Amino acid sequence: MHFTINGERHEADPDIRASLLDVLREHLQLTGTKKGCDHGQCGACTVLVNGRRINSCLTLAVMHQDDEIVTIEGLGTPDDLHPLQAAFVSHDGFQCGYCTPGQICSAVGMMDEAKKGWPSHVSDDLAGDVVLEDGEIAERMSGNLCRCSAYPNIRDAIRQVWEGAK
Amino acid sequence: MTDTKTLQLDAPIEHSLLEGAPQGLTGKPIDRVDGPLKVAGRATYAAEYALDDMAYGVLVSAPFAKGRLNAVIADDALAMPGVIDVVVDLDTFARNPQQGGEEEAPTQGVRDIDYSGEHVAVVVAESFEIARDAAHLVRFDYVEGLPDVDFDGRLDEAETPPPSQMPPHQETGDPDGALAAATVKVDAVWTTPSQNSAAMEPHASIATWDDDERLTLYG
Amino acid sequence: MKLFDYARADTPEAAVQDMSARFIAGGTNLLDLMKLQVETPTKLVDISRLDLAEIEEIDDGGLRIGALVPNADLAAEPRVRERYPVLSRALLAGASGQLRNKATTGGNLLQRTRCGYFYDTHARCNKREPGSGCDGREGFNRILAVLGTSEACIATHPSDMAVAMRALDAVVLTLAPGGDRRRIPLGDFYRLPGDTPQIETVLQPGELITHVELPAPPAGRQTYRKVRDRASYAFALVSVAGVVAVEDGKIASASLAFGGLGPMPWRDAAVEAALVGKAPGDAAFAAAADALLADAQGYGENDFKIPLARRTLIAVLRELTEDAA
Repeated sequence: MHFTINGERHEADPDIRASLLDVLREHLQLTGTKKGCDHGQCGACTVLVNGRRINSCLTLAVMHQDDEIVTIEGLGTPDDLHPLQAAFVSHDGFQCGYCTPGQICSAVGMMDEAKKGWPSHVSDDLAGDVVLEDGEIAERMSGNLCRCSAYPNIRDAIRQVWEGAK
Repeated sequence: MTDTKTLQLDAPIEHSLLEGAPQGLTGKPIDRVDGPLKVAGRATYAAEYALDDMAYGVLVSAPFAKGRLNAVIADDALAMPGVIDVVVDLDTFARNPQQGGEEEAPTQGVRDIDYSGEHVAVVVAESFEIARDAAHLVRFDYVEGLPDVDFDGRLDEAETPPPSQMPPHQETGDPDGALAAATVKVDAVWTTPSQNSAAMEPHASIATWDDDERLTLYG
Repeated sequence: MKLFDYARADTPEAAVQDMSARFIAGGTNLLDLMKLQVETPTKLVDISRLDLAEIEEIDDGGLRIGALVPNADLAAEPRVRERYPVLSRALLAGASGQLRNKATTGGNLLQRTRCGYFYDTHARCNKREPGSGCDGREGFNRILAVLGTSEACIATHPSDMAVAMRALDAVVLTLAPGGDRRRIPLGDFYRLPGDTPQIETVLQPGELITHVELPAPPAGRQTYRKVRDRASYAFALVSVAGVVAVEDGKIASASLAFGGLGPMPWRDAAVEAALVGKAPGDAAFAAAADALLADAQGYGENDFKIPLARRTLIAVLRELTEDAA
């Protein structure tokens, strides 16, 4: 199988049952994306496929050979951090760091959805402008769990980048 | 009541650990040194070391919550292409090692099963997918007992633990009296689901033997 | 997960050629179940690239929704937000952002119960293994059904989207092997468990959902109310999709569907008959709740769903008729 990940082409020969997550981690040594539950419940495996955030544990790798896949490694490096990665550091949006790549990829996808004007479960008006205050961020990020309780700092990091980008 | 000691921390205290530690850090909002690695997905967790020719292990759980395990039957699992071994030893298989509590060796032996999901064997295969599939083929010979899950019904057997080395600062008031004297009384029982303190990373380990028969464990 | 043959279909007609194959689109429910060997298909046909992802206008302002439209896109679609806000709200109340981006319209209708005994392959479950028994009836059944149950099964259907679609009189369009196309009203799509809880819909082997049609937008106000243990990312204990129109001080029309209560999105004509022609108010609302719950049966841990459903329905009816003409 072949994959386009972070702009580069990769080849791999995994089991037909392999999830996109396991191909990234076990076949391509891209271990930035994490396995937390393997059942689509924790969000640690979140990547961007054609710009949309999805759980990479709940999809077969074989189905994504024609897609543009972006992982945490593609957003930035320790020496050249994406603004959201830098915001997570400055706002201390993590402790153990295991949920962090999934949080960041999910937040990138989420902000794109907000830019498109998508409402959320907590939006008063389905057709109104999107205002990313605390409650909206929490709802839109509810698919990403953090066991170290960094949530308030995660929301601060996201809000900083959202407001900076406006 | 024990004697209460107080200490006021509004000025530097000479000859104290607090003041003797690396200067100028306490109270300062510094970024975590591991931050850039973690946010960029470059920090290496337990299962993330890429060694050559890796095999994959999937743990097998007993299919019952309480009882006696007589045998683990691995024939069908071993016959699956790609399976390297099924590690079974009812007397030496590690039994939920207690974090920090063991001093010489982990508790071993899985003949007596005490909880749902208890691990009793491990399937090792050339890929995760094969190991996971083969784990479903493992069979068991066992005598099932009756698990005791009646917490509320056995509350009368609860014991107060003995005092630990550090006696607690403790004050007990009179809740029954206060409730009896209250103008408005609400007496109800609320329950919450049980909570676990557990970091997101699943427990994992990589084991590798070298030519000198030395074992390195990544954890 | 057991091994399977995998093929990608280029057209719907090609997809339905092999009656023994299972379709995979978003995969967010199927793969979850396959990892646990609750589902063990031997052949998967990938339908995710078929040209079934459009939302088209049909007569009188209705919509035809392709089966592959992702849940997130359907919720955000301006015409859905505008004409069928109950559907948008129901979709937004479900799952997580990541899952909504991947799950499809067709897949959401076909998702399977989250009953813990269905999921646990060591437990007895007539839906997973016909004839084995039902450990849910006497077990931890807090999330299970109080309406439409049988001796064999008390599972609930977990979808929010399907409840809103039921209230909107949606119609499911299919393509069968052999080329026949069917139109199946959603009210006729699901089957009660009876003696065969393993048969959940009227779909034939190999039959593909191609679209869901919504008739012209209904009169009145719409709302979706979901009661659950957490503020987000949790299934409904009880949910209500309601569409109510009031004219000249009387309820002119009412459409109410319920989640969390039964093995399919639940709708009962008797509930609506108790409301139409009556003045909005607690007398009519209580009669509607009585009709809904007349045959409700709790199994111990889910007894609370009965008074909860009553209160939620009444609250929804009050919301939909507040200050209405």
